[in-house]
Amino acid sequence: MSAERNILIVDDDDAICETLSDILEALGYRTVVASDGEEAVACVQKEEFGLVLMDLRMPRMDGVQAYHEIRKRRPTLEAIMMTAYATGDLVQEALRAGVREVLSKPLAMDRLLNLISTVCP
Amino acid sequence: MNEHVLVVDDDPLIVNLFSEVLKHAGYQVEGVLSGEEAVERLNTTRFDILLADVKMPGMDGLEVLRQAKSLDPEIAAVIITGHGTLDVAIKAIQFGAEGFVLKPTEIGDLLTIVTHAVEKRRLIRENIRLKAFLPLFEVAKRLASEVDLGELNQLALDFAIRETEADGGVVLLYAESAPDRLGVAALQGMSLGMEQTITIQEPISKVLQDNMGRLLMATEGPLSPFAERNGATWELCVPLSIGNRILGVLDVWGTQRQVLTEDHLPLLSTLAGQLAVTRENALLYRHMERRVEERTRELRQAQERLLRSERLAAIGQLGTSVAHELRHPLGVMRQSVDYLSMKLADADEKVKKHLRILEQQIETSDKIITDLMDFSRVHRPTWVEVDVESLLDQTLADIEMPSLVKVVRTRAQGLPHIWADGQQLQQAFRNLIVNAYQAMPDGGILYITTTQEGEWVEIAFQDTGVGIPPADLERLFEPLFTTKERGTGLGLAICQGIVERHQGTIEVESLVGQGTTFTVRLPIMATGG
Repeated sequence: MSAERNILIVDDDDAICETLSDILEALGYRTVVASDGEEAVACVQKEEFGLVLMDLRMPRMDGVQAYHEIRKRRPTLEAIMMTAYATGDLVQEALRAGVREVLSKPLAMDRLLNLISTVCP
Repeated sequence: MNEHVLVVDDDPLIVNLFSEVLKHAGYQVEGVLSGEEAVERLNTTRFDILLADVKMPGMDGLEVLRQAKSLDPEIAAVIITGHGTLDVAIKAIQFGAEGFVLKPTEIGDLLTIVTHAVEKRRLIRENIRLKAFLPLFEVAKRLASEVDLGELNQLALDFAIRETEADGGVVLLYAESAPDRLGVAALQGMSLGMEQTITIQEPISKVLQDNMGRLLMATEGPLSPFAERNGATWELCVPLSIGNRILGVLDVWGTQRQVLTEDHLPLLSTLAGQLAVTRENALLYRHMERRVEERTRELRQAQERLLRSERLAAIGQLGTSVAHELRHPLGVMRQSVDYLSMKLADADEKVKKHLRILEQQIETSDKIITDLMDFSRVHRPTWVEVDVESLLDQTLADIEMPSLVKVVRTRAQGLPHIWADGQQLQQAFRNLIVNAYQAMPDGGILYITTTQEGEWVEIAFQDTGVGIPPADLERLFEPLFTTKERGTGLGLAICQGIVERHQGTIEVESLVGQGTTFTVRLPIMATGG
């Protein structure tokens, strides 16, 4: 399988990670799950991904910080952020960091899948 | 003191002698030579003392005494008798004589006896006067507890008429519309209309001018036209005044020559003063009561609003945190269901049905959470000029309405725009419209009517639905109170919150089986307070 259809899911909530992972895998994607920013950075160093799907707020290292770290290693890797508390500032910060889109939780699955299909054809 | 004495004796010598003696002692004396003449004088003039010979041709002294006492019980009577029989003395005392003068008479005795009689009469008068004031205390007590102004006037007038044995009377107050006229505030025994005003003229004008009561006799001068029309022989008029401020007069009149004396003047003057003060107090009291009522109502409303807003704030805080907590697992559940739906696309109908049920329940839960979050979002309105009509149209267009429900819109002509937060109002309208639909599961009509009521715009949402039982009606706007199986009990609380932030009111009327009407009133020129 090509790296484009390899998706890294990062969320401190296991249930989210697992359901997302199952849905995406049912749709033919490959997924790797990380539970925080540091773990995500480690994953990116180990293998190639077509997309990072990451929660904006996480313990230790938040989504934007983690994305900066990821970009240092994989400058072209795209990210979609998810957040339950979408404050304007944080969203702006994420978009400035080069995040493709910030989606609010609970996720509108149609929208997410559409978005993923444009990033990972 | 100059007391007025009537001497009656068929012997001119006695009349002359007594007259001279008494005049010399400072009395004002009149003498007549027969009982008949005496009664005639008594009928037209008021005397303080009667000196009557017992034995006279024609009407005798005892009869004169009897008639004199019946005309004026306060008259002091002294009987002149040449033969002091017990029989005559007893009769004379029975008729109310104060003393006896024996003929032949010592001048010193005569003066002593008359002086005694006068003193006795003074004491009796004093007594009567004091007695007369007793009912005044009674009436004063009643006046003080009476706050109905019309009743007050009538009460005082009735008392005055009773005490003076008058045939009629009237309470006249300065007319508000015309300062040169008096308005009838209470009346009895005469045919003036209650709405009528009368021109101020003598003798009432004098009473008003001097701020002093007067006792008037028809024989001495003109009475008030209304008294004269009724054939009055006397009229007693006292000012209704508080200090120098004169409100009007209390006026009574009678057709009989009767017991009325100068003593009635202070009695009625006191009564009139009492009436004036009580009237003033009643006015003040009424004014104060109204103010107190207003303030109490305002306070109660403010308190209710405060309680509600505190309660709402508490619910809001709790609601927001719970909503946030719940929203997350719900999202995950939805993802799980999404996954299962994909995976089980080919499963049998039972499984698919349960997936649909899960999906719907998650949807409902999410709606409740949205409600809770809306509810806690108590931000102040953003004031802009809003057209209520188009806001209603927009709201209706946004709602998917059941086909069985018909909406009938009635629009006020030229309804003014109001200052409001359109978004918030729309939310309030939406809640009311959705409620109405839900109240008509078998269909019906929703009448939405706008009207302008003075400085207010009124929007009525009337449905032909199931109605609300009275017990539920009281609690309808309480947060968390719901009659729906799946309600949060926040919809109407949100409505009320929004309407009150706009300084408006929301009211509900309902009849079980007939329908419910919610009426929202919004001020046209609310300021963002």
